[in-house]
Amino acid sequence: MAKRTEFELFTKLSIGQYMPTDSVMHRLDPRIKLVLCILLICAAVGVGSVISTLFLLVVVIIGLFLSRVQVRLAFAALRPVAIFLVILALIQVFAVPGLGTSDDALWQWRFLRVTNRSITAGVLLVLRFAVIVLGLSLFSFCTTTTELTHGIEHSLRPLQRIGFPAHELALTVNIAVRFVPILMGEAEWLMKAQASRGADFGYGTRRGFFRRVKRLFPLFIPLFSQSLKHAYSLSEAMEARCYMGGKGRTYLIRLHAKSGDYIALSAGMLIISIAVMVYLFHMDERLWSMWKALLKGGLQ
Amino acid sequence: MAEQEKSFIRFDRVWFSYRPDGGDRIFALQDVNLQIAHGEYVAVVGANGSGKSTLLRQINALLTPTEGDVYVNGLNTKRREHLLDIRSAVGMVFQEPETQIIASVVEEDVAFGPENLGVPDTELGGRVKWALESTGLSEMRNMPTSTLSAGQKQLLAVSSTLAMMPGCILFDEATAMIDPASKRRFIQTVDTLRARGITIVYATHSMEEAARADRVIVLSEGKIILDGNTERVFAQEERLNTLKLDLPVAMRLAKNIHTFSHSFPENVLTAEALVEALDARLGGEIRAHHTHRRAGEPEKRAVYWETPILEAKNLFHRYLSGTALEVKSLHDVSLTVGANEIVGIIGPTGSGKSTLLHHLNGLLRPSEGDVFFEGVSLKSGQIHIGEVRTKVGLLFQNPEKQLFEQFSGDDVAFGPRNKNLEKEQVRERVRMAMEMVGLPFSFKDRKTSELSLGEKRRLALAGILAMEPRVLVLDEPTASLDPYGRRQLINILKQWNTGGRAIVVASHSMEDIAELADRTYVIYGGRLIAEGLTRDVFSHYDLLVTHGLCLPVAAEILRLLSARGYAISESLLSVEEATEEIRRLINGQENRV
Repeated sequence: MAKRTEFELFTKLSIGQYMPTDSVMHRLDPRIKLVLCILLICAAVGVGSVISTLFLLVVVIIGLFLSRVQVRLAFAALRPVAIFLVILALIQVFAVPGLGTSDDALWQWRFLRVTNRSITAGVLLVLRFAVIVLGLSLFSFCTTTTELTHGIEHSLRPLQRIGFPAHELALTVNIAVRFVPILMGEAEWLMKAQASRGADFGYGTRRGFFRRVKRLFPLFIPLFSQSLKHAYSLSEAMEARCYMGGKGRTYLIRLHAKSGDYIALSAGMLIISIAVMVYLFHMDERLWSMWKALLKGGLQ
Repeated sequence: MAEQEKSFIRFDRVWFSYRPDGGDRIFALQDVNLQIAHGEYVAVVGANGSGKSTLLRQINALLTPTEGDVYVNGLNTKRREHLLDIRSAVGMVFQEPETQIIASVVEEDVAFGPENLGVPDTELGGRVKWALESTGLSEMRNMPTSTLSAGQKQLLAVSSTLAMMPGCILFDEATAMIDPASKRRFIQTVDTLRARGITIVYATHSMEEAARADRVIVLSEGKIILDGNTERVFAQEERLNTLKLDLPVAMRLAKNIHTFSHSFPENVLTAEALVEALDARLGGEIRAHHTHRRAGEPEKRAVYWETPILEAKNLFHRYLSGTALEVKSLHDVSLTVGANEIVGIIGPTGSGKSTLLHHLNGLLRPSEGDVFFEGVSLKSGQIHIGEVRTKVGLLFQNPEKQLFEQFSGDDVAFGPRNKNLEKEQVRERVRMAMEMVGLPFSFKDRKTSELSLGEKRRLALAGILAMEPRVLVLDEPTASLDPYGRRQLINILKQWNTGGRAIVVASHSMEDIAELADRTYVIYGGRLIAEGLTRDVFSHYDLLVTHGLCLPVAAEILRLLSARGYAISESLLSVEEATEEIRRLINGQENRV
C-alpha cells in the first residue's frame, strides 16, 4: 500500500460522505430522513436500556443494508475512535463511583469495582456510540448536502412567517458544507508551499509532536486571509446575481412527500417509540429476570 | 433625459477610490467617460492593476463611483432602488471558477439568479433548461457542481448569468484559469451570445481574445488611454508597448509580412483573417503538391544523460488509496530532466500535471515507481526529503497561496531561515534572489498584500530562488500576467537556466511552452501520451487537439495554410520562423510569376 505523505491527512475523511447507490433509502424525502435521524439520536442518548439500544443498532444496520452501501464503510468510521471508546467503556465498568455499592460488587480491588450496573453502563456507552455514528453515516451516505439543506429549509419554512430566517440558515449550511473541502484543499496547498521552502511538517515521522503543532501556526494567517477572500468573491458573485436575502424568492425545487415517505416515517416513529417504551416500562429488567428464572428452572 | 437613454451604459466623469475617506486617496479610476451602446462587443485591456476589474464592477453596481455617475439604461447605479433592475440587466462572469458557483447542484446554481428575481416557480424549469442549452451543459443538469472541471464551471457561470436574461454580460478575465480546449469552447459561447444581441464587455490579458471584439478600451493607471475600433487601437503598436501590452500574434505576423510585401495589409487581427489574406495574396498558385503532416505519435527521442538531474521512473499515484474514493491520478509516468534543460508539461485540467509536479520534489510519494534527484532515489533514504524540497524548488500557480509573511523581505527569507543560516547570509540570499527577479532590494519592506500580481509572482519566485535550488518546477507561471509581466518572467527564467540548472514547466499556454521548453511531455488522464522535442510534439496537431490542447498561434496559422494545400515545412513555432516561412512562400510565388 502507498505511503501517505504528511499532506494527505486533510482529504481522507470518509465520514459524512455521500454514496450514490440510488437505493430506497436514497429516494426518501430528505425531511423524513432528517426528522428520523434526529429522533434516533435523541432516543440513543436518552434511552438507558441495553435492549432498546441494541434494538436500535440492529435497525440501523438493517437500514445500512437497505441503503446498499457497503456496511464495512460505515464501520470504518468507528475505527479511528475505537480505542478511546474502549478506554471510556473500561472506565465506566471499573472506576466510575456510584454505580452500585460495594455490597453488590461482582469484583473489587481498592477503588476499582465491577457491578451489574457498571457493566451495563459500559456496554450501553459502546452501543450508544455505535448507534449514533452508524446512524449519522447512514444519513450522510444516502442524503446529499443539497437534499439536506432543502430538508432544513422546507421543514423550517412555515416558521418564516414569524420571522425565522429559514432560507438564510439553509443557504449558510449549504455554503459551509461546500467550502469545507475547498478550505481543506487550500490548507493542503499552503502546507505544500511552505514545505517546498524547507518548512518541516514532520516528514511523516511521529517525532516532535509539539514542533509539528508549532509548524501549523504559520498556516493559520494565510488560511484565514484566503477564507476571507473566498467569502468576499462569493458574496460578490451572489450580489451580481441579485441576491437580496430570502424575501420574494421563488424556488426551483419543491419537496413533495409521497405515500412511501409517510410509510417510512410511521415505521421509523414506531421503531423509536418501541425502543423508548421498552426503556420506560423497564421491560429489559423484566426480560432479564424472566431469563434468570428460566435458567433456574432449567437447572432444577 | 433623452441623452441618457441613447446609450445602454454611460460613465459620466467617474472617479473611484477604494478608500474614499483616507488622507492620501489613490484613485483606481480617474475621470472615466464612456458610453456603450446596446449590442456592442467591447474588450477592456490593460496591465495588471490598471483598473479593469474596477471598471467592470461599476457597471453592475458592485462598486459605485466616489465622484461622478454611472447610468445603466438611464438608471443611476448609486440609487439603491435601481439595484435589482441594474443587476438583472447586467450580469457578470468572474475569473475564479471556484467561488462564483453558489449552489451544489448545476440546475440549482442556474436557478439561483431567477429565484432571487422572483421568477414564478413554473417558469424556472424552462429558464434553466434554456440557459444550459445555450452553453451546451444540458447533460450536466443534475450533477454536483464540485465534479465539474474548471472550464465547465466557467460555462456554468455563463449559464447562471444568462438565466437572468441580461442585456449585457461582463467578463472579468473569465478564461484566465482554464485549459486551451475549454478556452476555445468558452470563446465560441461568447460569440453565440453576441450573435443574440447581448452586449459584451470583456476584460482580458489575452490580445488574441481582445482582437475578437469590435471595440477596444485600453486602461492604464485608472485612466482610459485609448478607446476605439479594434483595428485602430491595435494600429498603435508603440503606444501599446509603453502600456505594457502587446499586439495579437496574427497582427505581429501581418506587420512582418508587410515589411517585405508592401501590398499586404498590416491590420489583420485574427489567425483566420490572416490565413484568408495570405490565401488571397498567394492566389492558390503553389497549391500544386499537398504536403502530408505526420500522423500518429511523435517519435520518442531517447535522451541520454550521464546522470540526469531529476528523473521520475514509472510513477503510479493513487489519491486516497485504500478508501472508497480512490482515484488513480498517475499511471506509469516517466520523465527525465537533464542539465541546462527546460522541460515542458502540457495537458488539460485534471490530467495529472500538478500531481506529477508534486512528485518531483517529494511533496507526494508515488504508490509505485520512484523519483531520483542527481541519481539518488528519494525512496532510498540516502537523501533527506527536506533537502530535496529545497533543491527542487516548486512554484505554485497562484502566488497568493505561497506568500505567507506580511513583508516581502521576510517572505523571501522564509526558505533561508528554515535552513538556519546566519543573519548576514540570509540577508545576502534575499538580496540576490530579489535582484535575480528584478525587484529592488528596497522592496523588502513592502507589504506583500500591496504588490501587483506580476510583482507577487516574481516575489514568490524570489522566495524559491533564495534557497538556491538546482531545479525549478513551475506550475502555470504566467497565468493572468499581463503581456509585459509575462515577457519579463520568461526572460528571468531563461537567464536563470544556466550552469547545470534545469527547469520543469507545466502550462496551459502553448505560447509559453513553445518559447521556453526544449522538450515537452503530453499528459492526459494520468498517462503520458507523447514526449519529444517541443517542435516535434507541436507538429502533431491531431494528437494535441483530440487531447484538449492546441497549437501556439503562429504554428496554428502555418497549419491552416498547410491545410489549404500550401507547401509549409513542419514544426515552426515562433513568429520569426513563421515570417521566414511565409516570406519563402511569397518569394517563391513571385519568382514564378
